[in-house]
Amino acid sequence: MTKSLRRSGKPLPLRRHLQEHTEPAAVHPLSSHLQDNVAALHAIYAEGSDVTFHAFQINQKIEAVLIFRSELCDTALLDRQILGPLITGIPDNLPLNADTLHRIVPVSSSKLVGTLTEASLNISSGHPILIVEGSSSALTFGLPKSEHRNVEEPTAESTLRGPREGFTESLTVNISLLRKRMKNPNFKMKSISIGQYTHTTVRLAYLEGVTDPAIVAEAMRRLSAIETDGILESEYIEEWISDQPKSPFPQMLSTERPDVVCANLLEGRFALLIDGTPFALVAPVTLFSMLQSPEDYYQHFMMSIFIRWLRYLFYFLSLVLPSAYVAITTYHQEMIPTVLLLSVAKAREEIPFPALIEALIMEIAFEALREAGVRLPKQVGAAVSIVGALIIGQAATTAGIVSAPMVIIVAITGIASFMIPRYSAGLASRLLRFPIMLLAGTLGLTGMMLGMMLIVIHLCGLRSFGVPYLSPVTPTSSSVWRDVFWRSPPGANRNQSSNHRSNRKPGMPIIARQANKR
Amino acid sequence: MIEKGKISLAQMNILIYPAILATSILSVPSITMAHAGHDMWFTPIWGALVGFLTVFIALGLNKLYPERTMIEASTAILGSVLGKIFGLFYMLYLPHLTGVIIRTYGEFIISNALPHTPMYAIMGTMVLVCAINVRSGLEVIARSGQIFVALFVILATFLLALLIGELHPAEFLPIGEKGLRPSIVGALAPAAWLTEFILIAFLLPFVHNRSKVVRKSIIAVLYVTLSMVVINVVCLLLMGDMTTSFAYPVMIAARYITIADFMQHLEAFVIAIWISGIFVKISVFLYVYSLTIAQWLGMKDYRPVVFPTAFLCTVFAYWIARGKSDISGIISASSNLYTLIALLILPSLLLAIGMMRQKISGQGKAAP
Repeated sequence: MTKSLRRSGKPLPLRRHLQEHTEPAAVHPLSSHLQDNVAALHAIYAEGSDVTFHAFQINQKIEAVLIFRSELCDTALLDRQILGPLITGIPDNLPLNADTLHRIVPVSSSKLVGTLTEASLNISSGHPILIVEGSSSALTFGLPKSEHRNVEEPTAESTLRGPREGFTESLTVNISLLRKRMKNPNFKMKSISIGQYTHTTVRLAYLEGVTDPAIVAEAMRRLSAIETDGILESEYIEEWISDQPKSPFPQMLSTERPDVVCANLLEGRFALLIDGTPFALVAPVTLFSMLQSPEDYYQHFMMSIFIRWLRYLFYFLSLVLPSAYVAITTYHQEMIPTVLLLSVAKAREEIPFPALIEALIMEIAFEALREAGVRLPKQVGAAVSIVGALIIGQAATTAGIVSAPMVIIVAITGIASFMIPRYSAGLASRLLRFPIMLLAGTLGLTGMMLGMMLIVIHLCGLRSFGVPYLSPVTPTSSSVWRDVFWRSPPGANRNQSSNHRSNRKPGMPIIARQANKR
Repeated sequence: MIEKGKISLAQMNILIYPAILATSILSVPSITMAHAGHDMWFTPIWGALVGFLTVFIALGLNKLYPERTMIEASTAILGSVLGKIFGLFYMLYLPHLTGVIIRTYGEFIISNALPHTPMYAIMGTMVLVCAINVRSGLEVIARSGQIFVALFVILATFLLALLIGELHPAEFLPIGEKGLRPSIVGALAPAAWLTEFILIAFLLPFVHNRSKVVRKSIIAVLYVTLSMVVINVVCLLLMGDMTTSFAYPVMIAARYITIADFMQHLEAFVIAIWISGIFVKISVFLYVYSLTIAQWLGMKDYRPVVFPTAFLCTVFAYWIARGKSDISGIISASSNLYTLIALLILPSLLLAIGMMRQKISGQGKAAP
């Protein structure tokens, strides 16, 4: 917590200059003289910014200026709902100031603002501002031009069965996707705007009575401590507010599926929706929740248990398989059954490198191929896989640079890392594979164990918003184990969770109980 | 308090389990066999009596001063000068004990897994990992302990189950050939290991749910004893009289495992499992030693002394023995008396004095 505070970067010299420049405006309330206000706003939007200042007369009597960014607001609506009625249709007997106009302009979301900063902030966010002669407050209208991608199937997290809606870049669309699923009025959201320049809106969603209020308060505290120029993606936020940003293990879950967010809200977590990115963040998470797929709950529970165990196994393999191969072929050949040993020895006979170097070459080549495949456009991406399969796979083996068993090991490791449902959770095992390989190459299985110990020590000390990362396995709370090593059929599960809910005192949600239990 | 983390009673017992078994699993079968012959399999049961005694001493000390470790309690019981002298003994004894454990690890790895790797690399890497663990705090030690002990127990049970086909129950006979005396002498080694239950006196102040501590501690002693008995029985039924001739009978036992010509030569696997146990053991003792130093010196935090302590213990690991023959001398019966004095007799004297003082001064002084 203090860490995130300490990380608040010093403002850049340029920014300090800008701040000094705009600072006086912050304390300035709007004056009642129209020309003063317009001049002040003109000074802010002097050059290079495309703000329209449209001067007109209300009821052909009183001077007024409408200030807006034409590319951010719906100008057709603006003309019809604001300009039209104001120029012609105001009854004569009303006093014409911002206060009255607020009540009679036919726009549902209008608001009064009193300072220059607020006014300029609204203009920048695309809300038109109306300043009227003689009024010391201005009127803003919410007439956003909504341009966003359609709701599509999430590409990074596909399931065979389950809803196919994914978040988009638009915050309003994302919120509507959540609200559609969660109709209880206890589904609450807090809003905060982050970023000196981007003023990105971040919404913290939680279920009142289910999410621990202390965790929500802590999250809000960390969010408001962020001091940065801009937020363009959820990862920016994640790195600012994680308990240990230096850990390779993600302490927040990023998802583009509204159903995943809702499921997590029901389990007592909170979610962050960030304007401009389809990825929502969910916290607090544990290692085991990072290894769960939404589909675990959308298919028959026996299959889910099987897949879940398979996933744990392969997560482990993706971390240690190359190291185990290196350790065993280098130090513990006696462990390999004789027949297999002979074929491995035959395959390795022509290879000029020790197993460790061979493994490193192959793993790095594989990571490079993977990265190339992700970055390239889809049409070229296919070419990468052909090059990879032919050159790395076949040609390198025939040329005697790597052995066939090594190719198999790397292939299995690759498949294992693809089995992890969350991309960000797989990063840790991809990264940590290399140091463990080095340890296995120098100290054999002993070294591998030492590497595993270091990882376990790290995981044991890790917390996500106060919740131990390895809970409920350690610290143990056996009632929740059912969802780690098991996935009870829905009936049993529902009983359990409703028990949880009815026994729970307010302010004592599921997650908090895990956290307090050491 | 010097340690802010709190652990549960179960976590404490889980930590103590490998803290006793990790090294005893290696040498107890052959040591007990040397003294007790075919009766060696039930020697740990005699040892358990000492284990219970130790547990009661530790719990007695804790009852006198519930929030203090043995080192802190000693100054309260004996006064500051005598108490500090008492603490000084442990300041000198604990690195010795930890050094022996580290050396055992080094010797074992060198003779079984990495014959060409220098000893300092083997011991140094392990001690470094343990020191990182200890620095992360008691909660982390307890949690990583839970994971590795679970691994240790599950895989060890699995391996022992694979040996069932190779056992010869006839090796039990004759039972009590020379009376009970040999088995009682042989029990000295398991007893010495079971006195390590005095760790409770160091760890209990950090346990948050102490209501069932007596029952749970007795169960812990029973589990440790049972494990020792099982290991002894397996070694006896597998190798019979030959058990004494091996330095590490359990490793020999692992060689017997052959399943379908595929799973064989599982020694490296056994070593990997064992390492997870010894990791917990070294961590626990390193923690207790760092805590002792910090409390003896009246420091506010034990973390700064962890790395120096770890280094000192590694140096002790070199000092205590010249070679492999020396190390087996240190863990054999003659030195068990030394362990018994440090871990059983001195604490019991402390408890006796503490109880007497409490009696004399009446009530009120017990809980300062």
